[in-house]
Amino acid sequence: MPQDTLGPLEFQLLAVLLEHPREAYGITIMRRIEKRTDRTRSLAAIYAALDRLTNKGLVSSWWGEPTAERGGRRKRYYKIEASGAEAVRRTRLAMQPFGEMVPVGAGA
Amino acid sequence: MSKKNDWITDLDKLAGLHKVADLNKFAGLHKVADLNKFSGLHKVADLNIAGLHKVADLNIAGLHKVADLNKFAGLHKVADLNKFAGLHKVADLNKFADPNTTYSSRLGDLNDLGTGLANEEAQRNRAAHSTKSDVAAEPENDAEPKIVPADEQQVSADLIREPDAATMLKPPLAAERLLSFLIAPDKLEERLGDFEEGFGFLIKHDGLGHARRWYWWQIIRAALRAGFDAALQVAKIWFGPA
Repeated sequence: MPQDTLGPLEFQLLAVLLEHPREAYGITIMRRIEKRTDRTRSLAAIYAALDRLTNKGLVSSWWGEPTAERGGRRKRYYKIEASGAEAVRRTRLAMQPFGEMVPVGAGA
Repeated sequence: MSKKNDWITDLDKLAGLHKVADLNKFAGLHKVADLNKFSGLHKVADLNIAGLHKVADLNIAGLHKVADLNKFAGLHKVADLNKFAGLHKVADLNKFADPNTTYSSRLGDLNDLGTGLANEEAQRNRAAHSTKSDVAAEPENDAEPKIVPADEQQVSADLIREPDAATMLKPPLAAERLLSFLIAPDKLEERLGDFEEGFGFLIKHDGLGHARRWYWWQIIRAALRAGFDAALQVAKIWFGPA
């Protein structure tokens, strides 16, 4: 199991997969991250992160049904694995002390 | 008087006989071919004179196909209209008759097809044009609005103000092709689908222009990332793995 912590985008992506375990695919993951972080993301960045997480075994995927709005193409749904959930927990714990160091409203 | 003329005289006497069965009983003729050979009657009008008034009778006489009946009688039925207009499916007829579109005006044209032989060629061209294009029919009157396909009518009206907006609702073809070069073949279906879904979502919420800009921006980002990944691979080979 990989012991290293996650990058910000990987962490956000896995958090979205934890929140929506059965209905997450490329474009919806991107929209949810954009909505939560209030900044735009590119699909290429999302896919690169998904590929990395898949290669690490933190995420798995399966094909969905083709739909008309996708030009008859199939979706690929992503699901967080147990190792992915553990990586999210570990990263959160690793970041927590640093979060407590920063006072609310700092830099404002 | 010849034997043939004798038979005709007899037929005239039997002018009150309206059934093929009677005729057959009288003359022993079982086929139209025989009847024609006997009396020189080549048209349905003539057959009617001989007492054949029903389709059933004509069928008994050997005319089993609608095509034959039409050839004989010049009957203008839906089958003829379909053959004429190249409309072979009920769906096509329904599309023509749909009151929500200007196709309804074409229904009148279809009716005219049965009677107006003078305009036959012009109407054939129009009908052929209609069947070729499932997307929009050429309006008869230039002032008529363009027809938008049903699936694209779901898009809000402000997005289809442009006359050719219907053809612009798909992602830019050049951009899609460029994207195909940047994505691995095994991931192409998933990712092109996501790009198209995102494009459609933005059309509905932010407009076509924004959606196109977004699509191109995504492609630029994808190209930059592909270039970065390629450079990383080269660097790994050159300097060795970290």
